[in-house]
Amino acid sequence: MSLLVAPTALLQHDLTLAWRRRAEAVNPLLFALMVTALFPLALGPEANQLARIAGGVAWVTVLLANLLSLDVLFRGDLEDGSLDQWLVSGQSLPLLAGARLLAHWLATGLPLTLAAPLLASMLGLPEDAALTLLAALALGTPVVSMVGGTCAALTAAMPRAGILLALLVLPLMVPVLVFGAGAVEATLTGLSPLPALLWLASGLALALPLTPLACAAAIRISAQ
Amino acid sequence: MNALTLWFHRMGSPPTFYAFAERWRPWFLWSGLLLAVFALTWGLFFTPADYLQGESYRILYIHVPSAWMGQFVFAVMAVSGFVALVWRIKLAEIVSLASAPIGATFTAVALATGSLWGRPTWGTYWVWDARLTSTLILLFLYFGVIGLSRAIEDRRKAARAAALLAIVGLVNIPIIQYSVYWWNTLHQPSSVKLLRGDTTIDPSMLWPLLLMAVATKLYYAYSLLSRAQVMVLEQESGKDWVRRLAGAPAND
Amino acid sequence: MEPATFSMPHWPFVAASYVIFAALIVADLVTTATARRRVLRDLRGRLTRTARREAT
Repeated sequence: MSLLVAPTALLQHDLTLAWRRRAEAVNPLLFALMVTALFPLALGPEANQLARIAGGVAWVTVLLANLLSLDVLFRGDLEDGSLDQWLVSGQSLPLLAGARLLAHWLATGLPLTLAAPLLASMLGLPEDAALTLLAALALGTPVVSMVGGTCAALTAAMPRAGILLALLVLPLMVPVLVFGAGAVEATLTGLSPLPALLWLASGLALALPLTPLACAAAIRISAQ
Repeated sequence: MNALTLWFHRMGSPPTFYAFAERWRPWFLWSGLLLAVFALTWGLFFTPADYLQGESYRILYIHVPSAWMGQFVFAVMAVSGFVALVWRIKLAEIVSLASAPIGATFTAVALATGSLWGRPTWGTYWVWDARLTSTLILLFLYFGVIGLSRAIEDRRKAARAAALLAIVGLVNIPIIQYSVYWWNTLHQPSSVKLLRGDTTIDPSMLWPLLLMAVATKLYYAYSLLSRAQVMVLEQESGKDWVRRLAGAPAND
Repeated sequence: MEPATFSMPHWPFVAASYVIFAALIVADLVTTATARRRVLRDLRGRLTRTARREAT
Protein backbone atom coordinates (compact mmCIF):
# COMPACT_ATOMS: atom_id res chain seq x y z
CA MET A 1 0.00 0.00 0.00
CA SER A 2 2.94 2.29 0.65
CA LEU A 3 3.32 2.57 -3.11
CA LEU A 4 0.08 4.56 -3.23
CA VAL A 5 0.70 6.94 -0.32
CA ALA A 6 2.46 9.64 -2.29
CA PRO A 7 0.12 9.50 -5.34
CA THR A 8 -2.91 9.68 -3.01
CA ALA A 9 -1.42 12.65 -1.22
CA LEU A 10 -0.76 14.33 -4.57
CA LEU A 11 -4.34 13.65 -5.67
CA GLN A 12 -5.70 15.15 -2.43
CA HIS A 13 -3.41 18.15 -2.81
CA ASP A 14 -4.50 18.73 -6.42
CA LEU A 15 -8.18 18.38 -5.62
CA THR A 16 -7.93 20.71 -2.60
CA LEU A 17 -6.17 23.23 -4.81
CA ALA A 18 -8.85 22.88 -7.49
CA TRP A 19 -11.55 23.37 -4.85
CA ARG A 20 -9.91 26.49 -3.43
CA ARG A 21 -9.65 27.92 -6.93
CA ARG A 22 -13.14 26.84 -7.90
CA ALA A 23 -13.88 30.15 -9.57
CA GLU A 24 -11.05 29.30 -11.97
CA ALA A 25 -12.14 25.68 -12.32
CA VAL A 26 -15.57 26.77 -13.54
CA ASN A 27 -14.01 28.55 -16.54
CA PRO A 28 -13.90 25.50 -18.86
CA LEU A 29 -17.61 24.95 -18.11
CA LEU A 30 -18.48 28.54 -18.91
CA PHE A 31 -16.37 28.32 -22.06
CA ALA A 32 -18.24 25.19 -23.18
CA LEU A 33 -21.62 26.83 -22.52
CA MET A 34 -20.70 29.96 -24.44
CA VAL A 35 -19.29 28.11 -27.45
CA THR A 36 -22.41 25.95 -27.56
CA ALA A 37 -24.55 29.09 -27.49
CA LEU A 38 -22.63 30.41 -30.50
CA PHE A 39 -23.81 27.61 -32.79
CA PRO A 40 -27.53 28.47 -32.85
CA LEU A 41 -26.51 32.10 -33.36
CA ALA A 42 -24.27 31.18 -36.28
CA LEU A 43 -26.45 28.52 -37.91
CA GLY A 44 -29.95 29.75 -37.12
CA PRO A 45 -32.44 28.46 -34.58
CA GLU A 46 -33.97 25.69 -36.69
CA ALA A 47 -34.43 22.81 -34.23
CA ASN A 48 -33.96 19.88 -36.62
CA GLN A 49 -30.65 21.16 -37.94
CA LEU A 50 -29.34 21.87 -34.43
CA ALA A 51 -30.32 18.44 -33.10
CA ARG A 52 -28.56 16.85 -36.08
CA ILE A 53 -25.21 18.46 -35.24
CA ALA A 54 -25.62 18.59 -31.43
CA GLY A 55 -23.48 15.52 -30.68
CA GLY A 56 -20.56 16.71 -32.76
CA VAL A 57 -20.79 20.26 -31.40
CA ALA A 58 -20.82 19.01 -27.80
CA TRP A 59 -17.74 16.84 -28.43
CA VAL A 60 -15.72 19.56 -30.15
CA THR A 61 -16.67 22.02 -27.41
CA VAL A 62 -15.63 19.63 -24.65
CA LEU A 63 -12.32 18.92 -26.43
CA LEU A 64 -11.52 22.63 -26.72
CA ALA A 65 -12.53 23.35 -23.13
CA ASN A 66 -10.21 20.55 -21.99
CA LEU A 67 -7.41 21.96 -24.11
CA LEU A 68 -7.65 25.34 -22.35
CA SER A 69 -7.09 23.79 -18.94
CA LEU A 70 -4.30 21.44 -20.04
CA ASP A 71 -1.76 24.16 -20.75
CA VAL A 72 -0.94 24.82 -17.08
CA LEU A 73 -1.16 21.21 -15.87
CA PHE A 74 2.58 20.81 -15.24
CA ARG A 75 4.00 24.30 -15.80
CA GLY A 76 3.67 25.63 -12.25
CA ASP A 77 5.23 22.50 -10.78
CA LEU A 78 8.08 22.68 -13.27
CA GLU A 79 8.79 26.32 -12.47
CA ASP A 80 8.79 25.97 -8.68
CA GLY A 81 10.86 22.78 -8.80
CA SER A 82 8.14 20.37 -7.64
CA LEU A 83 8.72 18.16 -10.68
CA ASP A 84 12.39 17.84 -9.73
CA GLN A 85 11.20 16.71 -6.30
CA TRP A 86 9.03 14.08 -8.01
CA LEU A 87 12.09 12.83 -9.88
CA VAL A 88 14.40 12.57 -6.84
CA SER A 89 11.73 11.42 -4.37
CA GLY A 90 12.19 7.75 -5.24
CA GLN A 91 8.43 7.45 -5.70
CA SER A 92 7.04 5.77 -8.80
CA LEU A 93 6.89 8.55 -11.39
CA PRO A 94 4.16 6.90 -13.54
CA LEU A 95 1.91 6.65 -10.47
CA LEU A 96 2.48 10.31 -9.57
CA ALA A 97 1.79 11.28 -13.19
CA GLY A 98 -1.32 9.10 -13.13
CA ALA A 99 -2.56 10.84 -9.98
CA ARG A 100 -2.08 14.23 -11.64
CA LEU A 101 -3.96 13.09 -14.75
CA LEU A 102 -6.78 11.66 -12.62
CA ALA A 103 -7.00 14.95 -10.71
CA HIS A 104 -7.25 16.80 -14.04
CA TRP A 105 -10.11 14.56 -15.16
CA LEU A 106 -11.94 14.96 -11.83
CA ALA A 107 -11.57 18.75 -11.95
CA THR A 108 -12.29 19.27 -15.68
CA GLY A 109 -13.51 16.19 -17.56
CA LEU A 110 -16.06 15.09 -15.00
CA PRO A 111 -17.81 18.49 -14.64
CA LEU A 112 -17.89 18.82 -18.43
CA THR A 113 -19.40 15.35 -18.72
CA LEU A 114 -22.05 16.19 -16.13
CA ALA A 115 -22.82 19.43 -17.96
CA ALA A 116 -23.31 17.57 -21.24
CA PRO A 117 -27.08 17.05 -20.80
CA LEU A 118 -27.39 20.82 -20.44
CA LEU A 119 -25.35 21.42 -23.61
CA ALA A 120 -27.43 18.76 -25.37
CA SER A 121 -30.73 20.32 -24.36
CA MET A 122 -29.54 23.75 -25.51
CA LEU A 123 -29.24 22.23 -28.99
CA GLY A 124 -32.41 20.17 -28.74
CA LEU A 125 -30.82 16.74 -28.75
CA PRO A 126 -33.42 13.99 -28.06
CA GLU A 127 -33.20 12.34 -24.64
CA ASP A 128 -31.95 8.92 -25.71
CA ALA A 129 -29.16 10.54 -27.74
CA ALA A 130 -28.33 12.79 -24.77
CA LEU A 131 -27.89 9.69 -22.62
CA THR A 132 -25.56 8.22 -25.23
CA LEU A 133 -23.61 11.49 -25.23
CA LEU A 134 -23.30 11.28 -21.44
CA ALA A 135 -21.97 7.70 -21.63
CA ALA A 136 -19.62 8.55 -24.49
CA LEU A 137 -18.21 11.56 -22.64
CA ALA A 138 -17.79 9.51 -19.45
CA LEU A 139 -15.65 7.03 -21.40
CA GLY A 140 -13.91 9.54 -23.67
CA THR A 141 -12.95 12.48 -21.44
CA PRO A 142 -10.52 10.40 -19.30
CA VAL A 143 -8.65 9.56 -22.51
CA VAL A 144 -8.60 13.27 -23.41
CA SER A 145 -7.15 14.12 -19.98
CA MET A 146 -4.54 11.36 -20.16
CA VAL A 147 -3.29 11.87 -23.72
CA GLY A 148 -3.60 15.65 -23.45
CA GLY A 149 -1.77 15.61 -20.12
CA THR A 150 1.11 13.69 -21.70
CA CYS A 151 1.44 16.35 -24.40
CA ALA A 152 1.17 19.07 -21.74
CA ALA A 153 4.10 17.49 -19.92
CA LEU A 154 6.15 17.73 -23.11
CA THR A 155 5.41 21.45 -23.50
CA ALA A 156 5.67 22.30 -19.78
CA ALA A 157 9.03 24.05 -20.17
CA MET A 158 7.69 26.52 -22.74
CA PRO A 159 6.36 29.81 -21.40
CA ARG A 160 3.48 29.92 -23.87
CA ALA A 161 2.51 26.65 -25.49
CA GLY A 162 -1.20 27.20 -26.18
CA ILE A 163 -1.33 26.84 -29.97
CA LEU A 164 1.48 24.28 -30.09
CA LEU A 165 -0.30 22.18 -27.48
CA ALA A 166 -3.44 22.22 -29.64
CA LEU A 167 -1.34 21.13 -32.61
CA LEU A 168 0.02 18.19 -30.60
CA VAL A 169 -3.21 17.10 -28.90
CA LEU A 170 -5.95 17.51 -31.50
CA PRO A 171 -4.67 15.02 -34.14
CA LEU A 172 -4.30 12.40 -31.39
CA MET A 173 -7.88 13.06 -30.31
CA VAL A 174 -9.39 12.12 -33.67
CA PRO A 175 -10.40 8.56 -32.67
CA VAL A 176 -12.08 9.78 -29.46
CA LEU A 177 -13.98 12.43 -31.41
CA VAL A 178 -14.99 10.01 -34.16
CA PHE A 179 -16.30 7.28 -31.85
CA GLY A 180 -17.76 9.75 -29.33
CA ALA A 181 -19.73 11.73 -31.89
CA GLY A 182 -20.39 8.52 -33.84
CA ALA A 183 -22.17 6.98 -30.86
CA VAL A 184 -24.54 9.96 -30.68
CA GLU A 185 -25.03 9.88 -34.45
CA ALA A 186 -25.84 6.16 -34.32
CA THR A 187 -28.52 6.73 -31.67
CA LEU A 188 -30.02 9.58 -33.73
CA THR A 189 -30.28 7.40 -36.83
CA GLY A 190 -31.78 4.51 -34.91
CA LEU A 191 -28.69 2.30 -34.82
CA SER A 192 -27.10 0.84 -31.72
CA PRO A 193 -24.47 3.12 -30.13
CA LEU A 194 -22.89 0.09 -28.48
CA PRO A 195 -20.07 -0.58 -31.02
CA ALA A 196 -18.82 3.01 -30.76
CA LEU A 197 -19.09 2.99 -26.96
CA LEU A 198 -17.18 -0.29 -26.80
CA TRP A 199 -14.44 1.22 -28.97
CA LEU A 200 -14.27 4.16 -26.57
CA ALA A 201 -14.08 1.75 -23.63
CA SER A 202 -11.24 -0.19 -25.24
CA GLY A 203 -9.45 3.09 -25.94
CA LEU A 204 -9.78 3.89 -22.24
CA ALA A 205 -8.47 0.43 -21.31
CA LEU A 206 -5.48 0.99 -23.61
CA ALA A 207 -4.75 4.52 -22.35
CA LEU A 208 -5.09 3.67 -18.65
CA PRO A 209 -1.83 1.68 -18.33
CA LEU A 210 0.13 3.33 -21.19
CA THR A 211 -0.35 7.08 -20.74
CA PRO A 212 1.06 7.31 -17.18
CA LEU A 213 4.24 5.67 -18.52
CA ALA A 214 4.40 8.06 -21.48
CA CYS A 215 3.60 11.02 -19.22
CA ALA A 216 6.38 10.00 -16.82
CA ALA A 217 8.84 9.85 -19.72
CA ALA A 218 7.66 13.30 -20.85
CA ILE A 219 8.15 14.71 -17.34
CA ARG A 220 11.67 13.28 -17.28
CA ILE A 221 12.47 14.99 -20.60
CA SER A 222 10.98 18.34 -19.57
CA ALA A 223 12.42 18.49 -16.06
CA GLN A 224 15.98 17.57 -16.95
CA MET B 1 31.18 -8.64 -31.26
CA ASN B 2 29.64 -9.34 -34.64
CA ALA B 3 30.12 -7.15 -37.67
CA LEU B 4 26.77 -5.36 -37.40
CA THR B 5 27.15 -4.21 -33.78
CA LEU B 6 30.71 -3.21 -34.53
CA TRP B 7 29.51 -1.11 -37.46
CA PHE B 8 26.83 0.44 -35.25
CA HIS B 9 29.39 1.36 -32.60
CA ARG B 10 31.65 2.93 -35.22
CA MET B 11 28.74 5.00 -36.54
CA GLY B 12 28.30 6.33 -33.02
CA SER B 13 31.45 8.35 -33.57
CA PRO B 14 30.49 11.60 -35.35
CA PRO B 15 33.56 11.90 -37.64
CA THR B 16 33.15 8.31 -38.83
CA PHE B 17 29.47 8.90 -39.47
CA TYR B 18 30.20 12.14 -41.31
CA ALA B 19 32.73 10.42 -43.55
CA PHE B 20 30.32 7.54 -44.16
CA ALA B 21 27.54 9.97 -45.09
CA GLU B 22 29.86 11.96 -47.33
CA ARG B 23 30.86 8.79 -49.17
CA TRP B 24 27.35 7.39 -49.74
CA ARG B 25 25.27 10.55 -50.10
CA PRO B 26 25.92 11.11 -53.85
CA TRP B 27 25.28 7.44 -54.66
CA PHE B 28 21.87 7.55 -53.03
CA LEU B 29 21.03 10.89 -54.68
CA TRP B 30 21.99 9.95 -58.24
CA SER B 31 20.63 6.42 -58.17
CA GLY B 32 17.37 7.74 -56.73
CA LEU B 33 17.03 10.56 -59.26
CA LEU B 34 17.93 8.39 -62.26
CA LEU B 35 15.57 5.64 -61.17
CA ALA B 36 12.78 8.18 -60.64
CA VAL B 37 13.26 9.72 -64.08
CA PHE B 38 13.33 6.26 -65.64
CA ALA B 39 10.23 5.03 -63.78
CA LEU B 40 8.23 8.21 -64.40
CA THR B 41 9.10 8.23 -68.12
CA TRP B 42 8.00 4.63 -68.31
CA GLY B 43 4.81 5.39 -66.42
CA LEU B 44 4.01 8.50 -68.45
CA PHE B 45 4.71 7.31 -72.00
CA PHE B 46 5.02 3.53 -72.13
CA THR B 47 2.05 2.24 -70.17
CA PRO B 48 -1.53 1.98 -71.48
CA ALA B 49 -4.21 4.37 -70.20
CA ASP B 50 -6.54 2.99 -67.55
CA TYR B 51 -9.91 2.04 -69.06
CA LEU B 52 -11.72 3.39 -66.04
CA GLN B 53 -9.79 6.52 -65.08
CA GLY B 54 -8.23 7.43 -68.42
CA GLU B 55 -4.94 9.28 -68.33
CA SER B 56 -5.39 10.69 -64.83
CA TYR B 57 -4.33 7.45 -63.18
CA ARG B 58 -0.71 8.33 -64.12
CA ILE B 59 -0.79 10.66 -61.10
CA LEU B 60 -0.71 7.51 -58.98
CA TYR B 61 2.94 6.92 -59.94
CA ILE B 62 3.73 9.90 -57.73
CA HIS B 63 0.82 9.78 -55.33
CA VAL B 64 1.11 6.19 -54.13
CA PRO B 65 4.89 6.09 -53.49
CA SER B 66 4.63 9.44 -51.67
CA ALA B 67 1.82 8.15 -49.47
CA TRP B 68 3.86 5.02 -48.70
CA MET B 69 6.83 7.19 -47.83
CA GLY B 70 4.71 9.36 -45.53
CA GLN B 71 3.89 6.32 -43.40
CA PHE B 72 7.28 4.63 -43.77
CA VAL B 73 9.20 7.72 -42.65
CA PHE B 74 6.92 8.16 -39.63
CA ALA B 75 7.68 4.58 -38.61
CA VAL B 76 11.44 5.17 -39.05
CA MET B 77 11.13 8.37 -37.01
CA ALA B 78 9.31 6.65 -34.15
CA VAL B 79 11.52 3.53 -34.09
CA SER B 80 14.75 5.54 -34.12
CA GLY B 81 13.14 7.81 -31.52
CA PHE B 82 12.52 4.76 -29.35
CA VAL B 83 16.16 3.70 -29.75
CA ALA B 84 17.22 7.24 -28.88
CA LEU B 85 15.10 7.33 -25.70
CA VAL B 86 16.01 3.89 -24.42
CA TRP B 87 19.72 3.67 -25.29
CA ARG B 88 20.49 7.38 -25.51
CA ILE B 89 22.21 7.02 -28.88
CA LYS B 90 22.93 10.44 -30.38
CA LEU B 91 22.81 9.16 -33.93
CA ALA B 92 19.30 7.76 -33.42
CA GLU B 93 18.18 11.18 -32.09
CA ILE B 94 19.55 12.80 -35.24
CA VAL B 95 17.91 10.27 -37.56
CA SER B 96 14.57 10.77 -35.80
CA LEU B 97 14.77 14.56 -35.93
CA ALA B 98 16.04 14.72 -39.51
CA SER B 99 13.30 12.41 -40.79
CA ALA B 100 10.39 14.65 -39.78
CA PRO B 101 10.61 17.33 -42.52
CA ILE B 102 11.24 14.72 -45.24
CA GLY B 103 8.24 12.67 -44.19
CA ALA B 104 6.09 15.79 -43.99
CA THR B 105 7.13 16.74 -47.54
CA PHE B 106 6.18 13.33 -48.92
CA THR B 107 2.85 13.42 -47.05
CA ALA B 108 2.14 16.88 -48.47
CA VAL B 109 2.93 15.60 -51.98
CA ALA B 110 0.58 12.67 -51.42
CA LEU B 111 -2.21 15.04 -50.34
CA ALA B 112 -1.68 17.53 -53.18
CA THR B 113 -1.51 14.87 -55.88
CA GLY B 114 -4.42 13.00 -54.31
CA SER B 115 -6.65 16.02 -54.62
CA LEU B 116 -5.40 16.70 -58.16
CA TRP B 117 -6.34 13.11 -59.02
CA GLY B 118 -9.72 13.59 -57.38
CA ARG B 119 -10.74 16.51 -59.61
CA PRO B 120 -11.00 14.58 -62.92
CA THR B 121 -11.95 11.29 -61.24
CA TRP B 122 -14.38 12.27 -58.50
CA GLY B 123 -15.30 15.67 -59.90
CA THR B 124 -13.97 17.56 -56.87
CA TYR B 125 -10.60 18.44 -55.34
CA TRP B 126 -11.44 17.21 -51.90
CA VAL B 127 -13.75 14.55 -50.55
CA TRP B 128 -13.66 13.29 -47.00
CA ASP B 129 -12.46 9.95 -48.20
CA ALA B 130 -10.99 7.72 -45.50
CA ARG B 131 -7.52 7.56 -47.03
CA LEU B 132 -7.30 11.28 -47.77
CA THR B 133 -8.54 12.14 -44.28
CA SER B 134 -6.10 9.89 -42.46
CA THR B 135 -3.26 11.23 -44.63
CA LEU B 136 -4.29 14.75 -43.61
CA ILE B 137 -4.14 13.75 -39.95
CA LEU B 138 -0.74 12.15 -40.56
CA LEU B 139 0.45 15.51 -41.89
CA PHE B 140 -0.84 17.21 -38.72
CA LEU B 141 1.07 14.67 -36.63
CA TYR B 142 4.23 15.55 -38.57
CA PHE B 143 3.56 19.26 -37.97
CA GLY B 144 3.22 18.52 -34.25
CA VAL B 145 6.58 16.73 -34.13
CA ILE B 146 8.31 19.47 -36.14
CA GLY B 147 6.66 22.25 -34.11
CA LEU B 148 7.66 20.66 -30.80
CA SER B 149 11.26 20.13 -31.85
CA ARG B 150 11.53 23.72 -33.11
CA ALA B 151 10.06 25.16 -29.90
CA ILE B 152 12.72 23.66 -27.60
CA GLU B 153 16.10 25.38 -27.56
CA ASP B 154 18.27 22.55 -26.28
CA ARG B 155 18.85 20.29 -29.31
CA ARG B 156 19.11 16.99 -27.46
CA LYS B 157 16.09 17.76 -25.30
CA ALA B 158 14.17 18.75 -28.43
CA ALA B 159 15.14 15.47 -30.08
CA ARG B 160 13.98 13.43 -27.09
CA ALA B 161 10.66 15.29 -26.76
CA ALA B 162 9.98 14.93 -30.49
CA ALA B 163 10.91 11.24 -30.29
CA LEU B 164 8.40 10.62 -27.50
CA LEU B 165 5.67 12.42 -29.45
CA ALA B 166 6.53 10.35 -32.54
CA ILE B 167 6.17 7.14 -30.54
CA VAL B 168 2.80 8.24 -29.13
CA GLY B 169 1.79 9.15 -32.69
CA LEU B 170 2.89 5.78 -34.07
CA VAL B 171 0.83 3.93 -31.46
CA ASN B 172 -2.10 6.14 -32.44
CA ILE B 173 -1.81 5.89 -36.23
CA PRO B 174 -3.52 2.46 -36.60
CA ILE B 175 -6.27 3.60 -34.21
CA ILE B 176 -6.72 6.85 -36.14
CA GLN B 177 -6.86 5.02 -39.46
CA TYR B 178 -9.35 2.48 -38.17
CA SER B 179 -11.54 5.19 -36.63
CA VAL B 180 -11.48 7.19 -39.87
CA TYR B 181 -12.57 4.12 -41.89
CA TRP B 182 -15.31 3.48 -39.36
CA TRP B 183 -16.40 7.13 -39.55
CA ASN B 184 -16.32 6.99 -43.34
CA THR B 185 -18.63 3.97 -43.55
CA LEU B 186 -20.95 5.65 -41.06
CA HIS B 187 -21.27 8.81 -43.13
CA GLN B 188 -20.31 8.10 -46.71
CA PRO B 189 -22.65 6.42 -49.14
CA SER B 190 -20.88 4.03 -51.49
CA SER B 191 -20.54 6.61 -54.29
CA VAL B 192 -16.82 7.03 -53.84
CA LYS B 193 -16.06 3.37 -53.39
CA LEU B 194 -17.53 2.61 -56.81
CA LEU B 195 -14.69 4.49 -58.41
CA ARG B 196 -12.00 2.75 -56.39
CA GLY B 197 -11.28 0.37 -59.24
CA ASP B 198 -7.55 0.50 -58.71
CA THR B 199 -7.24 -2.38 -56.27
CA THR B 200 -6.23 -4.85 -58.94
CA ILE B 201 -3.50 -3.45 -61.07
CA ASP B 202 -2.04 -4.59 -64.36
CA PRO B 203 1.62 -5.73 -64.17
CA SER B 204 2.58 -3.24 -66.88
CA MET B 205 1.41 -0.46 -64.57
CA LEU B 206 2.84 -2.06 -61.44
CA TRP B 207 6.51 -2.00 -62.45
CA PRO B 208 6.95 1.78 -62.69
CA LEU B 209 5.10 2.07 -59.38
CA LEU B 210 7.46 -0.31 -57.58
CA LEU B 211 10.50 1.36 -59.14
CA MET B 212 9.22 4.72 -57.92
CA ALA B 213 8.81 3.26 -54.42
CA VAL B 214 12.50 2.24 -54.51
CA ALA B 215 13.53 5.63 -55.95
CA THR B 216 11.75 7.59 -53.21
CA LYS B 217 13.46 5.45 -50.55
CA LEU B 218 16.87 6.13 -52.12
CA TYR B 219 16.11 9.84 -52.13
CA TYR B 220 15.02 9.63 -48.50
CA ALA B 221 18.37 8.01 -47.66
CA TYR B 222 20.16 10.88 -49.40
CA SER B 223 18.12 13.61 -47.73
CA LEU B 224 18.40 11.93 -44.33
CA LEU B 225 22.21 11.64 -44.56
CA SER B 226 22.44 15.22 -45.76
CA ARG B 227 20.35 16.64 -42.94
CA ALA B 228 22.08 14.43 -40.39
CA GLN B 229 25.44 15.80 -41.56
CA VAL B 230 24.28 19.36 -40.91
CA MET B 231 23.07 18.41 -37.41
CA VAL B 232 26.32 16.60 -36.64
CA LEU B 233 28.29 19.66 -37.74
CA GLU B 234 26.17 21.92 -35.54
CA GLN B 235 26.47 19.67 -32.50
CA GLU B 236 30.20 19.13 -32.91
CA SER B 237 31.14 22.64 -34.01
CA GLY B 238 33.85 22.98 -31.34
CA LYS B 239 35.63 19.74 -32.14
CA ASP B 240 38.92 19.37 -33.92
CA TRP B 241 37.72 17.28 -36.84
CA VAL B 242 35.03 19.84 -37.69
CA ARG B 243 37.64 22.60 -37.57
CA ARG B 244 39.81 20.68 -39.97
CA LEU B 245 36.81 20.11 -42.21
CA ALA B 246 35.85 23.77 -42.22
CA GLY B 247 39.43 24.94 -42.55
CA ALA B 248 40.17 22.99 -45.71
CA PRO B 249 38.48 24.97 -48.49
CA ALA B 250 38.53 22.06 -50.95
CA ASN B 251 36.15 20.11 -48.74
CA ASP B 252 33.01 22.04 -49.52
CA MET C 1 -19.26 0.15 -62.51
CA GLU C 2 -19.60 3.78 -63.49
CA PRO C 3 -16.61 4.94 -65.53
CA ALA C 4 -15.09 8.34 -64.82
CA THR C 5 -16.82 10.55 -67.32
CA PHE C 6 -16.03 14.04 -66.08
CA SER C 7 -15.44 15.61 -69.44
CA MET C 8 -12.25 17.49 -68.95
CA PRO C 9 -8.71 17.00 -70.22
CA HIS C 10 -6.71 14.94 -67.76
CA TRP C 11 -3.23 16.02 -68.76
CA PRO C 12 -3.21 19.37 -66.84
CA PHE C 13 -3.79 17.48 -63.60
CA VAL C 14 -1.13 14.89 -64.40
CA ALA C 15 1.29 17.67 -65.34
CA ALA C 16 0.49 19.66 -62.19
CA SER C 17 1.17 16.60 -60.01
CA TYR C 18 4.53 15.93 -61.61
CA VAL C 19 5.46 19.61 -61.36
CA ILE C 20 4.53 19.76 -57.66
CA PHE C 21 6.55 16.62 -56.96
CA ALA C 22 9.58 17.90 -58.86
CA ALA C 23 9.33 21.34 -57.24
CA LEU C 24 9.24 19.93 -53.71
CA ILE C 25 12.16 17.58 -54.40
CA VAL C 26 14.18 20.47 -55.84
CA ALA C 27 13.24 22.64 -52.84
CA ASP C 28 14.39 19.86 -50.50
CA LEU C 29 17.65 19.47 -52.43
CA VAL C 30 18.32 23.20 -52.27
CA THR C 31 17.53 23.46 -48.52
CA THR C 32 19.77 20.59 -47.54
CA ALA C 33 22.64 21.80 -49.75
CA THR C 34 22.44 25.42 -48.57
CA ALA C 35 22.10 24.39 -44.91
CA ARG C 36 25.34 22.42 -45.13
CA ARG C 37 27.16 25.19 -46.93
CA ARG C 38 25.88 27.77 -44.42
CA VAL C 39 27.02 25.75 -41.39
CA LEU C 40 30.48 25.22 -42.88
CA ARG C 41 30.76 28.89 -43.84
CA ASP C 42 29.75 30.04 -40.35
CA LEU C 43 32.31 27.72 -38.83
CA ARG C 44 35.02 28.96 -41.17
CA GLY C 45 34.12 32.56 -40.33
CA ARG C 46 34.33 31.84 -36.63
CA LEU C 47 37.67 30.08 -37.07
CA THR C 48 39.23 32.94 -39.03
CA ARG C 49 37.97 35.44 -36.45
CA THR C 50 39.56 33.48 -33.58
CA ALA C 51 42.77 33.06 -35.58
CA ARG C 52 42.93 36.81 -36.23
CA ARG C 53 42.27 37.56 -32.57
CA GLU C 54 45.02 35.18 -31.52
CA ALA C 55 47.46 36.78 -34.00
CA THR C 56 47.00 40.28 -32.58
